[in-house]
Amino acid sequence: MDDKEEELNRGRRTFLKAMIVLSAGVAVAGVLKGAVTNIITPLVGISSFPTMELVGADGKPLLYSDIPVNTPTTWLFYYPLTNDPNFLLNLGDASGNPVNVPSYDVPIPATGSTYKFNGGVGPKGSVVAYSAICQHLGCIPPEIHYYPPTQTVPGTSFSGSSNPGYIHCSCHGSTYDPLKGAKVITGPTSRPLPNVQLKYNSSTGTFSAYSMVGPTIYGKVSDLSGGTPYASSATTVTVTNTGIP
Amino acid sequence: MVEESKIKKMIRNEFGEDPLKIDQLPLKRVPDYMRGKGGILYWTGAMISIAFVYQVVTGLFLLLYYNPADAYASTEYIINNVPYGALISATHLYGAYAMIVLIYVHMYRNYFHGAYKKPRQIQWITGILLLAITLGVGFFGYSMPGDVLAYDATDVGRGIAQSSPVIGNILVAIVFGNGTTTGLFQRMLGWHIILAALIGLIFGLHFYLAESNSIMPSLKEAKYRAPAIDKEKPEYKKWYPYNFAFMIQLGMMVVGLIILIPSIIALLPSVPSLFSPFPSVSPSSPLALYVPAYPPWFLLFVYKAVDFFDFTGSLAPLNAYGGLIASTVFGVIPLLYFVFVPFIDRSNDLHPLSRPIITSFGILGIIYMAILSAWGALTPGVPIPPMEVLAVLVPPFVVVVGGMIILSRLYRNGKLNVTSQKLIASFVIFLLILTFSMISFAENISAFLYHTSVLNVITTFFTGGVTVFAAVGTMKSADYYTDMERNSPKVTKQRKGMSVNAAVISSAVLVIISIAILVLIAGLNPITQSMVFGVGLGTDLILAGIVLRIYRMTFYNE
Repeated sequence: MDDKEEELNRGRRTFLKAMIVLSAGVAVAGVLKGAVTNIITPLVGISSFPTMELVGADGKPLLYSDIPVNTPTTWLFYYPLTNDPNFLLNLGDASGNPVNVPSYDVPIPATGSTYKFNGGVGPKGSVVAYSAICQHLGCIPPEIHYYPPTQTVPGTSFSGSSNPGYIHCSCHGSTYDPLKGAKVITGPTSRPLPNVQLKYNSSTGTFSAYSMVGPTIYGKVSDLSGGTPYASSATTVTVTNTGIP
Repeated sequence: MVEESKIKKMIRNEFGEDPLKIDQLPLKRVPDYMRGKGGILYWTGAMISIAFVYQVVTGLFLLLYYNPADAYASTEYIINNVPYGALISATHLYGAYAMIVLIYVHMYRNYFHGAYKKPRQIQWITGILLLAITLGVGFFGYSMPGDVLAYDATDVGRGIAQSSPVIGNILVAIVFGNGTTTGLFQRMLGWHIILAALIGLIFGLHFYLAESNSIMPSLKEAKYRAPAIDKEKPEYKKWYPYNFAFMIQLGMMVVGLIILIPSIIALLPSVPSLFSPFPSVSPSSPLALYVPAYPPWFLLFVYKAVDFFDFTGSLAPLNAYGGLIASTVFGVIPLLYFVFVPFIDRSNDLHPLSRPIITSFGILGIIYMAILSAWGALTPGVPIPPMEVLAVLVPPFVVVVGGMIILSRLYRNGKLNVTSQKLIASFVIFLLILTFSMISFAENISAFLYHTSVLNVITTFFTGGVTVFAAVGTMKSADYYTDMERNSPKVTKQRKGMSVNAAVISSAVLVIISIAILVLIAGLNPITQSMVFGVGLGTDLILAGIVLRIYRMTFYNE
């Protein structure tokens, strides 16, 4: 074998080696594509917000008179999916009278934009509902908690007249104002709590949840996915008084 | 020479010499000093492997009962209804803690000795990889009981993952599933096991490289120069039975402690929630309100760092990325530094003082982790303004880097002349200072965190500085002393084994005690008293280790 031929062979050999690497690379890429796609869990969810009537633990429609003013214990319902807790609050003043909650343009400090909070519903316009997952790092009740007016919020300077009724998260100290669409009062959160839009039927005296506004529920890609949906036939959602003061 | 026993003769006649081919195992023989006094630091890797094996075994037991569809209830069932379930779950938790602590000891020991240098670069990198994966397994394991702490930890983890740019949502779907509760715990169980298997795999490579590169000899032996290789010498004792006995002894001791420590802690009247061997309350319990949202203690430092990135004013939108920034700055970047340190520090110097900057970074790593963890435990989730962060983090930096550079100068000029008496004295002094300054520093820092005043800042500065100085001093003097003692000529080959009679009596006594303990604990109720059983079991294992130690001391002269 002369030198030239050897050189040529060496070139071919390198080429063949490159082909081995390339073909193996292609095969591995295929395997990776399959494996990575497989481990991304498919999202489950629903395509639009359901309208669901709020019912009590006994299955009977929840009436305004059932919800105590200033809601001293935590009332929760899960909407729009079965693992999205929300506070149901009947807001009042320091002397225990319900207050009419006006609509408000809620700012989102994280993006600088605002969205419209429609205000309270019910005969006194005092019933509101907010996501009960803190927008900072996802703490849930009882760590995130509603403190009725004048109650001392632990770990903060809010007490007496400086607490008009705040939602506060004891995990990292975020505070929200439910009277103003749960806008941010103190950080570290940079997003207000998402608002569950409620409808009041004055002829039957019942409430139903029909949509949500504000930031996406914490930890989710969209409000409508990332959890187990209710049965498609379900038209009611149970509100539970957890009894936690 | 004593005549060979009949059984041994029979075995030899039947199966031939070395029937299990133990002498052909590709395991390196090691010099005596590695098995001697102070030699334990050569076996930190072995201790991690023992803890890992313990984790695999107990983990498989737990797998028989754990139900991801009902995580909290099944965990409570294991603890309250399964015989010895409480013991297995508590020691599985503490086995993980032991693994993590030992990994840090192993890593820093090798870091300060320059073990990452030629020829062990790849071995070092696989080691850092193992650290990262172990923390990951720990995170998933900590989240699996489904108690309030688990939910807090997963929520924080999910938030940090989701705030990653571009791939955030995909990352969440991969790591935490699609948001359903069963899906979440199914995933975490899956990842917990998959990553543990990955540890086994990478550990195989790490161990193979460790054997091939040989255990790193003492720095003196290596003349403080890389490559530090322990060339097998003819006078080294065989792996079997000498090292084998040592490994069994070490295994008994490590497993004994892993069982004993949580068992004792479980019997204490009150334990801080960070170190409780059992899960906290269910997330829906009213008591959950009073449980501070702690991550596992080994991630507390990152958790505290999240509080450093509490932006205000026009920077407030960045708060959504606080967790991501914190875990990058205090988690990913240090990890990357450790991965690349073999290529950053390319010199052949192995002495910690000839590498002042590298050594200071290691010391700072320990100090920052300790400060941030303590800070996180004292004031979980309290935002810290940037100036206070700097006030706490900058002084140690200045003291350590400055101090190391000065020490390194002295060392290079040969002015660092130390005797063992001076070293012992300075060690004791440093230790005393360290103890007092730590306490006053802790007090000052918590006062300072609740109420910032100039006085608080100054005292925190001062006590912090003193603490750091004392910590460095304690460590250094201890390090020098063991080095010195090992290498001082009068100590070597002088120690005699125990007298045979003493050995016979003491091991017989220990065996009688351990049998008595076994009889006592065997009668206990396996469901309600399993932690008391654990105290006895741990003690018995340690006693077995001690008996083996006595044998080695007497007949192997070790």
